[in-house]
Amino acid sequence: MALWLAIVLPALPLQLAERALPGMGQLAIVEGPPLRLVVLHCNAPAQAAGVAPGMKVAAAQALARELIALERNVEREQAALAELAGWAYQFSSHVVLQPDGLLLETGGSERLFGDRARLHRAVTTGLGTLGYRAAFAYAEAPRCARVFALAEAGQGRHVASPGLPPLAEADSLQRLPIELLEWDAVTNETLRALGLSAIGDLLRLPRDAFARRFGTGRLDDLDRALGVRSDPQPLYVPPAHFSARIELPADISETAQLMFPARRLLASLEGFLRGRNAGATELVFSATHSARRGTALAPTAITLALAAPERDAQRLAALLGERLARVQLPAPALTLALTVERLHAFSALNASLLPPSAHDGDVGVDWLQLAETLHARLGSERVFQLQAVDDHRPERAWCALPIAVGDAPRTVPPSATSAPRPLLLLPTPQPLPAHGEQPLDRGPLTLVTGPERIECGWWDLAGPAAGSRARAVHRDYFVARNAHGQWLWIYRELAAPRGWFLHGLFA
Amino acid sequence: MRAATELLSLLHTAGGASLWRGDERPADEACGPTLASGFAELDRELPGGGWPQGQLIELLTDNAGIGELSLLAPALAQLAQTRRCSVWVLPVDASRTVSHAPEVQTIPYAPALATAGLDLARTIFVKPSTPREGLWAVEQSLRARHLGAVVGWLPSASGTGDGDFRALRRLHLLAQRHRALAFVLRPARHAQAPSPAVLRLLLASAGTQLQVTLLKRRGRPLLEPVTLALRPAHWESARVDADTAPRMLPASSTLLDTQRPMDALLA
Repeated sequence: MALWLAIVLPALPLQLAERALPGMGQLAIVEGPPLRLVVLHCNAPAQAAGVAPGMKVAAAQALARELIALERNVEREQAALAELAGWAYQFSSHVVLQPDGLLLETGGSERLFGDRARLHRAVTTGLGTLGYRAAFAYAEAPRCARVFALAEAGQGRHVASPGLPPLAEADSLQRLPIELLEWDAVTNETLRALGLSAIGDLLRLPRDAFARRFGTGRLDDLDRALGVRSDPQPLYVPPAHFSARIELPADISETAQLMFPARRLLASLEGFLRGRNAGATELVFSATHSARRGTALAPTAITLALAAPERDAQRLAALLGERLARVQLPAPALTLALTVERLHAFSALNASLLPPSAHDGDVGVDWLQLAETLHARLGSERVFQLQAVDDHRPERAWCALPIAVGDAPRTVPPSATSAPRPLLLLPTPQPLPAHGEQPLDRGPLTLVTGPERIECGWWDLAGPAAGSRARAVHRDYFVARNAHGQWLWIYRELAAPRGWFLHGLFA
Repeated sequence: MRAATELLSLLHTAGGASLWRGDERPADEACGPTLASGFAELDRELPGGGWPQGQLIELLTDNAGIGELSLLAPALAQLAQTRRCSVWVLPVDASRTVSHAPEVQTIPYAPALATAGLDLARTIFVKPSTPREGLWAVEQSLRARHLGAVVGWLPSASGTGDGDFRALRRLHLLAQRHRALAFVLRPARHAQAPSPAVLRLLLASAGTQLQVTLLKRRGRPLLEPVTLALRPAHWESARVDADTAPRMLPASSTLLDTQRPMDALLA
């Protein structure tokens, strides 16, 4: 049985502004031609100050000194609804965009969530996390569900309705006002003038006469609401990558304040990724700034790189918190956007690769999370892995790599030599003073073993890699010990002036 | 005094085997899990017969390059066999306390670590920019489950002895939540400062060998240092002279001087 859930977001422009930041003061959404802006929606603090929808902006601002008036942006609302549809895709593959809400076919996915009550709870709590208030109605026909949801929203039952709404019967449509059908104002006025104020009044009219007077389109619409006429819906198709944006109603200059809108974005991302059964490994947050002294500022990009695909909003938020500690905003932020270009197959591997042992407590984070936390806070230059490279030149026999957990184990090339190698290497060899043939390091050095002649790399000289790093090596290496008991790895250049260098420590 | 002796004998009869006297070595099972250090002379003196797991271990040394990492390598190689992951928090400035060159930047050398048996694919290296960041990284690492070992160079996180104690105490408490080997390397000047670590080792070189003084361990203190031979046997006596090294130059010294072989040959 097809079952449709209609979600209506009343006063959507106002909700979009309110969800961006906590504890907004007096806020009004205004609309209209320039200089004749009229209040469309206003929040509770503004209402308390006496502001009401329909008021002129100047009048509203006279009543409420602190009023933030934001102009309505229809495109922005459509983008937010599309983003919400991407989030809702986790509950149903049949998602339909509506002017101020969504339609979801939930009959097919009830079993996946257990039952209808659990599915409903998942939807309502999810919407709450996203920062939306919504009115809900279930019906067998999508048009019917929509009309009932609008009726719920009209009665203000969108604030707190945690319970599962009953399945709306087509018969009870009869007593609802005709405005809920969302016909144009002229038609509504005509119908009202004819004394037809409830949908039931329309249904009692002769069908052919109604069709002649108001057009067959209206009659078909009524039939769809009753569920007697098939009502195919244009289904929402999720995009290939995730992109969401929040406009900040007030300027934000502290990075910590970005966490609140970022959590909203991450909750939306989690829903989107759940719907696609995917995870993300690279999240790019970008904050735009207002132009300063006429010059546009480049947006601040905050990239979050992960070792393994992840979608858990809480974990991502914790990582972002660490990452934000390294970010400075050059100017107050106006908008915050989140994009994820590439989706990766997600396997629910939120536990360790190792089975938990009896000795380990259940407390603590997984090491993969640890890698990501370290990486998020310190960056890839400071958190890395090391790998041995098959090269005879000691300084090129290793490389630092970004963390790649979960990849196939790296193959370690066979060690080319059995000669001693120090556990600590100086990336840039340090010149040592010498007295004649005797190298010094806080006193004369005792040469223990050697020489090991390393003479290679000439092939790099002619190659395209010839540069500062690509250098031929002609050296005699010794193990040496100084008066302080330190075991050193030193070498002597074979070319004049045959200088001595410290290259490693046998730590 | 007599009363004390009487009390002791009374306790002995009452407590039996569960009584442990401070001048005795604690029973191995009372020490919690340990991992053999790979050096028999040291294991003999370590309570439980090895490095204590889930306890903070403090290594104090001033001179890098006396064998401080070679001392840990066998245990770390054992952990690699169990496929456990490790984190190394490297020194902030890697000072080798050389008078004429106070700062020598070093990095763990991957080929040598691989030869020593460490699992580089499961080791994360952290290079902190401040001591505080290093402390944070060690702390985060100790929070992780299923971690094999943490090796952290902590010069002095706070600058004050009191702050250091608090920081180490926090690390010690975190270490107890899991079974990781928690090694912190600190300068030897902290040897006299109080520390919450259950095992404190002062490392110094003695001739060609490494001298390990157990400043603190569970049970009876050890007065005599342990001397370990970490180096290959032939290094002990070997001695070469720089003069005896062949002075043979590469085939073409002009090649060396110009660093541009093709040009040199064509000219």
